[in-house]
Amino acid sequence: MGGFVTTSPHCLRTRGVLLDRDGRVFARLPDVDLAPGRIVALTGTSGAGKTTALLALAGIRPPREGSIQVGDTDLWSLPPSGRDRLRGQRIGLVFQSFHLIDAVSVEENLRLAASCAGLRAEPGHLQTLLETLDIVAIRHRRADRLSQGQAQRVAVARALVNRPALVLADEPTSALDDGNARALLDLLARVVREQGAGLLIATHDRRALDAVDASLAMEAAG
Amino acid sequence: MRTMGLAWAFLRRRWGQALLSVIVGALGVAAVETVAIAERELPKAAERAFGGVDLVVGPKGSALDLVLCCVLHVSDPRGLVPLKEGMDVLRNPMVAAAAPIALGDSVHGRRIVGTTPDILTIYRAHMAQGAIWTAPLQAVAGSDAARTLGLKPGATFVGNHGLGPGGEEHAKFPYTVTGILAPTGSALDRLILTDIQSVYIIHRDPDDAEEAKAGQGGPTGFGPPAATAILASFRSPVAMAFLPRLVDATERFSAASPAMETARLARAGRPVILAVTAVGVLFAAIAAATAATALAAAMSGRARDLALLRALGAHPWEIAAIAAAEAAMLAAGALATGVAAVAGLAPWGASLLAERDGLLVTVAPTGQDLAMLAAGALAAALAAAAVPALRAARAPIETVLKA
Ligand SMILES: Nc1ncnc2c1ncn2[C@@H]1O[C@H](COP(=O)(O)OP(=O)(O)OP(=O)(O)O)[C@@H](O)[C@H]1O
Ligand SMILES: [Mg+2]
Repeated sequence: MGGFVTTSPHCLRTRGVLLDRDGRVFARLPDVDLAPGRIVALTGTSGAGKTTALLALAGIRPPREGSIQVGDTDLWSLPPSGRDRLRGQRIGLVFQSFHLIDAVSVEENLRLAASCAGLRAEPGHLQTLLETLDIVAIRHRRADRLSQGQAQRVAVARALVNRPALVLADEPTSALDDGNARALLDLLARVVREQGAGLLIATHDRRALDAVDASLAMEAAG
Repeated sequence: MRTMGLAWAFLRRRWGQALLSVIVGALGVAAVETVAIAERELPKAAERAFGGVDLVVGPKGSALDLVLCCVLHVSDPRGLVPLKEGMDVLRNPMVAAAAPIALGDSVHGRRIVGTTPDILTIYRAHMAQGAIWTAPLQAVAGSDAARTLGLKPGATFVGNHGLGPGGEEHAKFPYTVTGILAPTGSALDRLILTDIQSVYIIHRDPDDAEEAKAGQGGPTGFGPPAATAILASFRSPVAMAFLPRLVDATERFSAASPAMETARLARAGRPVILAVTAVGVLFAAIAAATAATALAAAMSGRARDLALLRALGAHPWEIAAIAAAEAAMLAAGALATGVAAVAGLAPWGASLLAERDGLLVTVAPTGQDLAMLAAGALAAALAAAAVPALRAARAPIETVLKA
């Protein structure tokens, strides 16, 4: 695996993160100390800044202030290419609408997650993920020919292909009915724990809160 | 990143547009390649077709007509020259060999040429089978004429009046084949040679034919013997500087040098060559432009996918490489299709040219041609990819987190 080795007991640690939009600070992220195998919910009303916070945690959009450590690495002190690498190799992302690449197969979507990060998908790990998430039978199917539930499971598998230290999920259940939301959360929690990653779920979905170890609320600021 | 695989997958999703770019690009490639081959091979083929003919002497008139009629044998003769005076003009130490030719009849579109055995010296031709004629109404067939007409030593045939098909048959005067020539690569291969007396015999007053056949030879019924033209080969290239002028200075004769006429023709053909090249380049440019707009549209339609790849850790230039790879694949497709089309159609065009104009053209593109086409295709691909690639590289990652 890549050059990011974690010795810290935390996979994510933030201090004093302030978020801005249009030059104005509008939200504060409560300090996060996320240990491997733990699941934390980030709650807040619509517009509270959950997605903006995840962008900062993923190294996509800088916070106005504060520090974000993924493992031992201070995310925002890395150069842009280093941040891209760190994100690809150490952070798994699950999006609200899954965002698979329609033009290629399920397996290719998973392999892409590895190759985009400059890694090769380990065959054994890939197979385990396909089996755990019950997508072995559809591994060669093109991503635009999947059911909603299958697409979700592929998205979860993709987030875990590179054995990330941290998984960030943005409203993974908001579009789902109770049964599916339950199933997805259980799966996500189980797989993330098995893999020893930390999971942060941004959500205002009350159903998600039952599955987590702790929850933090976005705070208004400015 | 798996650039090639992704680019291919993306291309397949918009195969209609991709196919259009490939077809238009292939047309450009084919046009440019055809011009390149033609420009190089046609003069060579013409030179081969001349055989060893350095000079043609005919009646006053266009030198080009003379070459087309009496060396390449693709057009009709314009008149006659008196045989003896014509041969006298070429009685010169610088002339290695001279032979008259008398045109008038044909068999199944192959010209029957009345001449003397010296013509074999001029064309450096050898007998493949049989022997040269020893009497009128005996014939020696060029290799191609023998093959297409199925002639062998001992076979007989009758000529038709005129150089095209449909002329009246000279049924009273069948020819007997005495020999077949080895291939020379020149226009000679398509001709049937006979003693010049045969032509006089057949075309004199029918009533006198028997008398002529008996060996009295002579005029075509009126006046002294004539020929369509006289061919000559030189001992040294220096003759080219003197002899044509010497001939042109006479009152009755014009001289034409096949080599000079082709050079002149090639110069006259330059605008055509340039025009076809321009059309080819235009096609290639249109292909590149359609590919570029289609690619740009495709890349912005894929903003979400590209942002996702960035979110997964891909560098901006890796995203740009996808656009470049797609364009390169289109260019490679156009290149392969264009070259294959020329390879498929060129032999057909070449056989048409051989049949109609007696030009034996080698149609295989050279490595240099292919290198030039590949460089052009690559340049077109890079030009087509530039804008879409830069735009794709700048795709903001944030879009991916929006539902
Ligand atoms: N691209 C943008 N440009 C400017 N402002 C934005 C942009 N995206 C979001 N915002 C603003 O930033 C604030 C926080 O938005 P954000 O998407 O982080 O909220 P959220 O907590 O994720 O909401 P939701 O639960 O609806 O997803 C909102 O006021 C929003 O209008
Ligand atoms: Mg949000």
